[in-house]
Amino acid sequence: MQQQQQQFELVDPPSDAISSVVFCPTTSNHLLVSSWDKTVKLYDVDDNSLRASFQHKASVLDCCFSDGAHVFSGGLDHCIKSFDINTTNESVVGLHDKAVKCVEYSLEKHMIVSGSWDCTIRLWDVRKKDALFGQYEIGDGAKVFALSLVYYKLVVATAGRQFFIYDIRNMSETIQKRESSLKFMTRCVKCMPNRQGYASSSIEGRVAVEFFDPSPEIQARKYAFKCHRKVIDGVDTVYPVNALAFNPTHGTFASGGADGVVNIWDGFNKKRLKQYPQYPTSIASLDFSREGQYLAIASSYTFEEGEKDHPPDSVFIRHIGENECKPRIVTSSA
Amino acid sequence: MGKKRNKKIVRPWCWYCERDFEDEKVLIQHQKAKHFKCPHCNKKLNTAGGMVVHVAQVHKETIDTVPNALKGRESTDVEIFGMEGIPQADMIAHMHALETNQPSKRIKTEEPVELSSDEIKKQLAQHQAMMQTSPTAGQSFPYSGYNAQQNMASLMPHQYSQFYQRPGVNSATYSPVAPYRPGQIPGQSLPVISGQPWRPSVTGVSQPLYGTTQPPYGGQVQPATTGQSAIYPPRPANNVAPSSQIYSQVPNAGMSTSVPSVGETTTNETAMNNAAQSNSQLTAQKSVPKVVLVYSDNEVSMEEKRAELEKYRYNEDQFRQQVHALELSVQSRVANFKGRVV
Repeated sequence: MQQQQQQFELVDPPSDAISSVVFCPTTSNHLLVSSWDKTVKLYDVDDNSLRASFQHKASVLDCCFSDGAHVFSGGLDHCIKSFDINTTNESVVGLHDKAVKCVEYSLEKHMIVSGSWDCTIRLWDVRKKDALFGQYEIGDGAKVFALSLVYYKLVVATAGRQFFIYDIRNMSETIQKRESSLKFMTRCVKCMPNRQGYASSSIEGRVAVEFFDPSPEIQARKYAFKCHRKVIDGVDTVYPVNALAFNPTHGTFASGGADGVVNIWDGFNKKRLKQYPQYPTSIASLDFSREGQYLAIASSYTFEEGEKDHPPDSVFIRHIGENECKPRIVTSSA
Repeated sequence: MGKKRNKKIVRPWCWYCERDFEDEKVLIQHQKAKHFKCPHCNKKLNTAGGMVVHVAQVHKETIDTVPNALKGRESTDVEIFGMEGIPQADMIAHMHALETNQPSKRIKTEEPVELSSDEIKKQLAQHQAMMQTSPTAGQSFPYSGYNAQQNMASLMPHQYSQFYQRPGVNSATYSPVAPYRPGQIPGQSLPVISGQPWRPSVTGVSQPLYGTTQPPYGGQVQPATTGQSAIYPPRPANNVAPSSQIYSQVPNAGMSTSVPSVGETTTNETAMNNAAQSNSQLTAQKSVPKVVLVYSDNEVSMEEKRAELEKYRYNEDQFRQQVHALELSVQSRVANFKGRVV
């Protein structure tokens, strides 16, 4: 009987592929959804309704909240836009030279961090009229594919399987430059809520868990594992892992692959806690709500097999039980 | 003497089926085999709760009844392990039943009970009656209803949590079914990763992180369509099983360990050749596991590829014009403002 309530689908989903789903950091019911249909939409998941939306001139690749009332987004129009939920005012924060792949908000620094295919990271102070705070070249061909912030740490994953770790208080120098521990293109990176490290995923059905601390004994703890694979007619089919999301309370994380499967992992004990039944199509994005009681799952074809017919794009909201994502205490049974 | 024995030894009994046993160890064995066995894979779990979790996690299904349990005792919520966890009321009822029924009438035990011919006839009649009527009738024969309850497994409703399912979308939850892949012919191979420029960098380099036994990526991809006959040379007959049937089953079994050792049987050579053709991929994979990446471009991301499509292409010139217009309007507004101030 609880089964029916475990999950529901959002009404009025975007009309094209979903690029990102993000929960509000101050309330647990607001969900921001950016899409290739050029829109950014704000939903209230409690009463399953569309609250607000605004448009870019081209497809939107990422979006984020700053506080409960302001949201930011970037996309193929090279443009970072801000939107005030209460007044519905929208404005252009600034421009990159190429498409903006990711935007994140730093609570500590009160700034927007954006990464672009123009191989730069830009910081934006939205309180100022001239918002551009700084522009940082990463390197040749280092198109930004994913970035994640925790506290003052910024992890940027770029083309060429590179990882750059910055302290956003001093962006002029890179704290660490690493090669990905995965052998294939990075799809997603997310920092641990405990600020100790990050998880990353690749197009080749693998997830790596790494730590910031460069000391050898901490680095020895890093690991990677295979997931989101399936044997089809004797062929081991490997799917890109498009999305990762950490549970804010338990520190466990979810992964979503192009196989349409969502897994919950206990990174501490290297165990899989849950596997949810397959969704209609690829998982494009995942996010836990502020206290981890919801998991937003964007089931939307991510173009891994080129232009093709695919199931409609949709967002599912899953209720997460209190212990569903809790790391299990390892007990040895006699 | 009988009284004494009754008092002294309360044989361990199973709450689910009211059967008693020599000792608790056997009881636990019985419970694992009869009541806590996963109906899908026969894995034996320690408790009903464990079975529920296993079925939910591994098979993505919900199970709310304990197999082979008596009516009213099928709940998976009651935590039973051996004699532990039996509700007090049932314990008292069991004791009472033991006391009222003399040892000779004891409930069905694991050892052969000597029954009088009358009793056997009676039980047989009961059993037959039960088989004819609906399974609910089993309730009236609590002690001999065991056999009827064995059918419970098949009567259990299969609850698929497929509420997300849409028409035409294959989202079967528990059998290893190919994902939704419209336009793909079964057996047609996915984009093969051979010949990609990035491949050599990974070949043979085994990072300690991975810790897998997987062979290097480069060596895994074999042209699936070439050399079918070479892959499948005729072999001496060494098996009598109908070959076509075996072949048709192998793909369903996924990574089945049954090596197709069936050679040419005297009967259907052509059928087997057809099967061999359709399964040549599989046989090739037997020797070297084939890995296919759904997306294999290591340089250009899926988003970049999608952005190349005409419908998403962003016209920069148009955009520049817009920016220019915007600047003009801002300038004119500023001028206006200045004019008003002055």
